[in-house]
Amino acid sequence: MSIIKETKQERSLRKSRERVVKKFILLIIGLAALVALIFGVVWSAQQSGTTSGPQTVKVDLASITADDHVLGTPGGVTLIEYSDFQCPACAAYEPLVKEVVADFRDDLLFVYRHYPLPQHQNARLAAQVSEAAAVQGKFWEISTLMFANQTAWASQSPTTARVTFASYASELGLDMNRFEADLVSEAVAERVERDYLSGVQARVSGTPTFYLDGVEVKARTAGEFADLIEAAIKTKNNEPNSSTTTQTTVNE
Amino acid sequence: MNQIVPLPPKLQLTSNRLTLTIAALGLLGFLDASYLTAKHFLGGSVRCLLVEGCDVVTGSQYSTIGGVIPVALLGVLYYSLILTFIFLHRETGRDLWWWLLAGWSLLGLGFSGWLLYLQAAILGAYCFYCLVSAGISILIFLLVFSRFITRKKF
Repeated sequence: MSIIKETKQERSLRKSRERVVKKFILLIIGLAALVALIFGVVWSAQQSGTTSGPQTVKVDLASITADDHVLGTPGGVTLIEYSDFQCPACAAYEPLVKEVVADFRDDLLFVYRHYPLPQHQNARLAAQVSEAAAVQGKFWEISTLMFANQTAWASQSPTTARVTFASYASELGLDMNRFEADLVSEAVAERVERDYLSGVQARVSGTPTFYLDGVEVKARTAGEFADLIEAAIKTKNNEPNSSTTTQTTVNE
Repeated sequence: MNQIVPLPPKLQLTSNRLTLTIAALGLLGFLDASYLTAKHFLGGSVRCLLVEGCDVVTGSQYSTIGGVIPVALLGVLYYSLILTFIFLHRETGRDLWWWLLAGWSLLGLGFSGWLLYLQAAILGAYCFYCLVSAGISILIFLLVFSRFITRKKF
């Protein structure tokens, strides 16, 4: 008799346990569905925002300030690059950008901005190193070294990469005491963060991202860049008075 | 495997409103954290209500752990477990789940404190949805621990 009673109790226990498990599974499914729903809503809101919002067509990038890293001449068109020293595509673009900047040096202002991607472990440090070098006027020199040796330091641990970066700094003849002090300074960290946040605001989605007079452009070769820049110069000259455009159009 | 021993119904009933409140807060926090996670992965600025500098917070280096795991995702995990513990406590009536809930909410309180400190002292900027989450986790902690004070026998 007692055996039967026990099994009954056991069965009711088992049943209640199964009920809990079932409800729990339902809870998990419900939560997962909620997450999916939120992702869907956010995603669709962003899709409609990018197609209908007129302000997204032309990105209002923060105005170029005196401590921005620029090459070329102001007054013409402006090309802004959001870049990451650890991104292979950015390294590939570097010589190409330099070529374009040299070709259009009288009509183009090139601006380099940091957009260190979170998944690149040494990218932010690299950006800060370049800012510490910029304090001593060697921003472009060290950025060339960064890109040229990217494969060497990209896989290093942050501590080792820091040593590698210091070797670049001394190679460039920087005052190392000052460099080390600047590297850990708040000003340098904030400078990188400022660039990064302006990129977030401009909705940079990857690196490198280029903005030509505030409009995102995609180009794969120096020739494609040249076409885009020439077109931008043309429209720019057309706006105030159309008489100055004859030179650029006849050439091709 | 331990046997599931339900508590006397009286004891369950008294805590009913408390557990439901905590569950509701947990769900709210879950939605909040899910939104921030979605924004992290899909990009774009979070809506900034009442405060300024939301993008400063969500775009900062502190918004991820080691640049890989977004803090918002940890929030989703945190609230999922809060909901799991409260669910298991309600279903089984076992005190173990309440103890786990208490420990977990204490951890959440500490982490929220750290995130509040980062916003106030380091970044000097606040993010509305982060503040909501901090508020919720503080409330959850207070409610969970209120049961230790109001109930002598636990």
